[in-house]
Amino acid sequence: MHLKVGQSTSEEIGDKSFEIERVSSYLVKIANEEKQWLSGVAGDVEVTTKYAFNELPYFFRFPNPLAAAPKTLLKIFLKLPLVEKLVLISGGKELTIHSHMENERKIWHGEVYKGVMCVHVEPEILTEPGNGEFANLPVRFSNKTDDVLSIKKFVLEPEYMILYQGENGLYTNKVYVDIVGENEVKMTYGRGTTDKAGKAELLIEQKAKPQKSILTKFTPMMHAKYFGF
Amino acid sequence: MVQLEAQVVALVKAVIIAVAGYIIARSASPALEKIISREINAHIGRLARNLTFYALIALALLTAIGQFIDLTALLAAAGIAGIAIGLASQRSVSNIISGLFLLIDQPFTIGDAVSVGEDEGTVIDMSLLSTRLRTFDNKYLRIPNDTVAGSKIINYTKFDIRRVDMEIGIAYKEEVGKAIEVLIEMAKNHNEVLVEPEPQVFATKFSESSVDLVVRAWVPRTEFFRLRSELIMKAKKALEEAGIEIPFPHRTIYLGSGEIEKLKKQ
Repeated sequence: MHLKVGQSTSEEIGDKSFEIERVSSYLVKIANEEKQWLSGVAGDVEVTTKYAFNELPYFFRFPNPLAAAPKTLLKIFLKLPLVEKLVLISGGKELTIHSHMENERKIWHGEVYKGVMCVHVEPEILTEPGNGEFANLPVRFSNKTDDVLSIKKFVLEPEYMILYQGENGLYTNKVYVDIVGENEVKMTYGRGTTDKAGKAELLIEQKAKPQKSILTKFTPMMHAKYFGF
Repeated sequence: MVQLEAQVVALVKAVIIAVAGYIIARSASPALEKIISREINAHIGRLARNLTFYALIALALLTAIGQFIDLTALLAAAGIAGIAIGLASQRSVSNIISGLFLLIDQPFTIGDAVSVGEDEGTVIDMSLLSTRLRTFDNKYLRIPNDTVAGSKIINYTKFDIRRVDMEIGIAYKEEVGKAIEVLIEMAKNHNEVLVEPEPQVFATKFSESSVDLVVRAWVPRTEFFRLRSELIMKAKKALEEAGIEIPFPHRTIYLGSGEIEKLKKQ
């Protein structure tokens, strides 16, 4: 919504509601239940909501391991939770008023002394793409070995992700997960999305160019487990 | 007249050398600190800055003095004086050596929250002689480096995640398995407790008035104190809601027959 001087709007994001009022040509007053503050603006002011990827890597942890038969390719969609942002656009610049992600839980990837903070995702498998406050993540799990392998975890780097607005929902670029061992996966990030997105419009571009494939090992917390810590 | 002229020229030269040396030392040392801080760390950067500054100043002063007198004799005298000063400043030398060891060992860097012996605080500076902390109650604390090197050091900010350990006693009449279940659910359902490493609850010992349990939950280091307090509150509430008693220390005294009557009569 475009705000003119004297106009105001109410916006809800997550469990918070915001009252945004343009008090003058140069000032916007933003208030919620807890506080209120002023923000300097210039020219046209627009208040809108946008989707974004979480800044932390997405750590997918299956409650039950997903088994892959030898020499198979499994094509599924997973729900990728997105961050919903309330933004104020003025003079070509964006100011994030508030951002929210449903059920955001953090998880540690690595040893307790060396690792990365991630956001936890309990994978929800979709056989057909869905429409909601999430992106459809087209994943291709492959097992090129002669053994039955299972996958318990994989990590998705947000900087390699692309978000598209499809005809029937939000989609990301295709992700290829090659299961190479019990606790080892090789991740490859594609550029395009699935055909099921229809005519897809680019919303968020990749922040970084991914390497050809990224090998991730999930080492059990050896010393911690050994001592029962 | 010629001699006076030469002396004036030497004086001007000496002043120029001293001023130029000071300017170079003032500008070169922060630049070096910036580069080393970026490439290695702030701690070594600060030390390199101090060393460079004093070395350049000493060099400039010696060169300036060299305009008037022969430095060979001065350096010989300085050597003897150096031995005397060295003997008188053993503690300082010990501090410098300890400072160098701390630099190599790197148990902390500037900005880390640490405990050194009995003291706790944030490291604000480290020089060759001492380490300076800002204590958590905002006092300035200077600790000589040989004391730091000889003390037990705990670095609270070395790793990104920390474990909250919470000891809770439950009454003997309660079912331990149920209490463990309640506490593990409480920790797992807390939004800010890390999903992995997973929270754990163990029974640890039989105490005087309780069976002791320990809850171990991993949290982001920056939220440690707030979450520890929150987990304690939530654990108490969860146990209360499940009807599990957290006992206070109590003692049961058995009296022999007739003792109660005797006490009543008194």
